[in-house]
Amino acid sequence: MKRMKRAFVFCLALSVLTSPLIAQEEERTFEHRLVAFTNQLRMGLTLATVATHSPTLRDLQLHAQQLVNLLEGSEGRHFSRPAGSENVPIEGMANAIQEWNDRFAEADIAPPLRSTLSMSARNVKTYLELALDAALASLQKQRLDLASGDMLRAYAFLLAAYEKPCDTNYIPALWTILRAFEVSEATETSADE
Amino acid sequence: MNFLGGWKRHLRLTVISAVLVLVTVGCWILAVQLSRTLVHASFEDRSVAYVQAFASSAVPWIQPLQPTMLRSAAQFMLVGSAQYVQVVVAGSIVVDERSEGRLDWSLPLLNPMTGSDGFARPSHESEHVLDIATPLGSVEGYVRMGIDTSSARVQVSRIALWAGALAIGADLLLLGLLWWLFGLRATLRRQDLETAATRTAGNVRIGELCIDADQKRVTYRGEAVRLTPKQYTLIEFFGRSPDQVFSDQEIVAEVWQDSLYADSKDVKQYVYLLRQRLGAIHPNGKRMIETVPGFGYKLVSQLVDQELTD
Repeated sequence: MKRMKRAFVFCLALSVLTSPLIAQEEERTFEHRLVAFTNQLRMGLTLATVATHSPTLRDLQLHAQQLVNLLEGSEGRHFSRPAGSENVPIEGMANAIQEWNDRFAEADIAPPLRSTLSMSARNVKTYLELALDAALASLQKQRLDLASGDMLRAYAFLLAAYEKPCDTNYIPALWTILRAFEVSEATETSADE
Repeated sequence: MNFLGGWKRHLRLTVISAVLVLVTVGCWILAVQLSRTLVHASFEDRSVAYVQAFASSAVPWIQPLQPTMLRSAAQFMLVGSAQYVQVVVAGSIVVDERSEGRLDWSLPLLNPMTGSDGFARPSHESEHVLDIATPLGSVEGYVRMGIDTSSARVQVSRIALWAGALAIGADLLLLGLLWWLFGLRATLRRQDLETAATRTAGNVRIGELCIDADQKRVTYRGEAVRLTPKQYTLIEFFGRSPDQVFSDQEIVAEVWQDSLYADSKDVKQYVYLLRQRLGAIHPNGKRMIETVPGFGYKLVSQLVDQELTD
């Protein structure tokens, strides 16, 4: 009986000691994922940029499909795995931002900040959906100039989702979330994460 | 002589056709050359912009350096026309991604570039790859990319094919029109010659109806039609211009030149008599001279021809 009591106290103490470590680890993982998401968005911007200037319609549509893959993930309706690539599941950006939105709603954050974060996450999601629409539209085009216009539209929405601060009024999006968690975007992660 | 004339005509037509074909071929070559220049210029412009777009996107991954992201971005480029992507920062290669078959290509380091430097030229390894280098701008270094120009070549070939089809179509149309016009002209000339020959011989022949001006004699299918001098003058007058409608006044003026008192009654009477004579040699003979109400009379050549088949 005495031995059982000692074991219980040890477990309780361990849990009390490790709980901040677990929370810290979760927080680190969250920040890590946030940076990965930011890098994915920057990669999306790169794809939209190069697609807009592609020398041929085929190049443009290949980059547009890469962007669609990045936005939708391997579970997406329009996902097309490149030939020869490994069958690794890819999380779509749209899913990730939805997940964050849910987490912000449940997290223990002060109401004004929570509201801002939720709104930012929603805006990012909307911009990503609009960018996805534009990228999908470019895949249907038979002319380089028209498809290029669609990718320019996708670029504009991705840029709005990225939300680089500007002097005039702007709509909060990813930049606001990054600032709230004091995360630097220039952290090395893979775009596939 | 006739054979010689025909031969000359055909020679002329052949020469015109050959010139037309040569002009079309010349236009086609010119159009293909022009499209080649324009397509390649446009392709080169877009390719340079493509590489510059990649370079501008790469800069944030260079300051601070994120080689994994830079490599991922470079790998994304290799799916299409890009054959290799090389990113050089401060004289050292940060990324060197290549598509299959380009791994052994030599890409020596270039001299440091300033903002205005950069080039787009055929690759040393293959003339079908455009070697483009562009400076990184705020960072000392450059991005070098090889773009396969096969799509531009395909586009030029497609234009050449369409232009060729168009040229052949235009040629066929023009040649067809030309030959038809020449044929028509020859037919008209032949008809004129035949008519002239008939007239100069003093005879008018309309189907089986023959008016012999020399002998003042009219025959139908070789059978003589008995006519008075005035009746003969009248049918000879009609026969000179078959199917032409003449008014009473015109007929009077031509047939009764020496009479001051002849009028439309005389015309009517003589037409009646002429019809009787023609009707005597053929059941439809009376219809050869047709009354055109309100205008006058005419000799119906078609009816005369139809009689042949009756």
